[in-house]
Amino acid sequence: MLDLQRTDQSDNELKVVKAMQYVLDILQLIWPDRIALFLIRQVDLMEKPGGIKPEFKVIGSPSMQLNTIDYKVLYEFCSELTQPFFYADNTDAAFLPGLMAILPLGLNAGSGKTDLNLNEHIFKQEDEGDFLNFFCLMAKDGDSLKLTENESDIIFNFLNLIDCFQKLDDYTFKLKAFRHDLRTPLTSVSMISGLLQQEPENSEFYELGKMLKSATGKIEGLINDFKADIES
Amino acid sequence: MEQCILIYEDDRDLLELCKIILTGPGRTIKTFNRCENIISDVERFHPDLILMDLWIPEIGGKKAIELVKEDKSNDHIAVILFSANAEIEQISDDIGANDFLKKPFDLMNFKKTVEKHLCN
Repeated sequence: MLDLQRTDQSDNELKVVKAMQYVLDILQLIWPDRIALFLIRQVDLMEKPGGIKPEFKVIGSPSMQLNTIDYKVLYEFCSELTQPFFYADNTDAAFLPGLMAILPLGLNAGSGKTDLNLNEHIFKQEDEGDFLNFFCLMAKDGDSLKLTENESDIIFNFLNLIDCFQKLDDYTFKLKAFRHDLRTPLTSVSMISGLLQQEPENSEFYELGKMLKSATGKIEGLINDFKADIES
Repeated sequence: MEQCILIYEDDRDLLELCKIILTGPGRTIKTFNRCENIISDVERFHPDLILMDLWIPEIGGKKAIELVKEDKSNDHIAVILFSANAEIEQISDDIGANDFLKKPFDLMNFKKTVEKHLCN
């Protein structure tokens, strides 16, 4: 599960998580006998102080680079799942996916059986942008992973949808961080205004202090208005 | 008796300002822009008061204070959290901090809060 250090954000607030839950529900209907796996690289959100703090779960030892992922180990993990699993990791943010969602579709999900050979097909989103999304579909060896054109379209539309929500989350996070970060230098200015106003015999300093206090009050008002605006 | 205050804040301007404001006779002020060594800082300086920013490298102010509070022999150390986090009051309660200051705070509020806990 995602864990956020910042208490003014929760995993439920992340739109990308909601989007993936929605997508996974639909995929479960379309492919009841396959495992769907999203690998979503989004480094920035993870690296920010106060960003997503991972509750790291090792799935075998896959480095999570797509070319070295150990699907058998991954399957062993998936086969024990009965619910969609959301996973975050930033131990090596340059290479690891920022966020991963796994849906244990049929395929003996929950049985813990691990003696199956798997084949997989990886779909990579063409327009990488700031994010790099992958969708991996796995099935028992021998089962076809061939998708119809409509099914392929569905996958790429989902990837685009997830990408949009992830960008939205990122912008929301950046706005919150900006608003938060602004308050620290504002505190410094407010304290300096207080120090200047402690010199009543120096009327110039005193007046400067009053003006700084007034300015900081206005900036704080603007920040609060902005907050109310984006939350409305 | 000499009083000791430890201040943890990663914004150097604010850290320096806090030090300037609180410096006075009979007081030792120690400033830090990271908090992962808080236990050794406490063991070394035996503070009366800790001022802690919530969002500070490496482990964050919440975790740092929890580490301090784990040791009952530190119960006498007053802790004031400061942060721009909207839930600072709740966080402060959760980790057993004595007080909090919500950024942006002003000079009077800052001094009053610190003095209150140093007197106690």
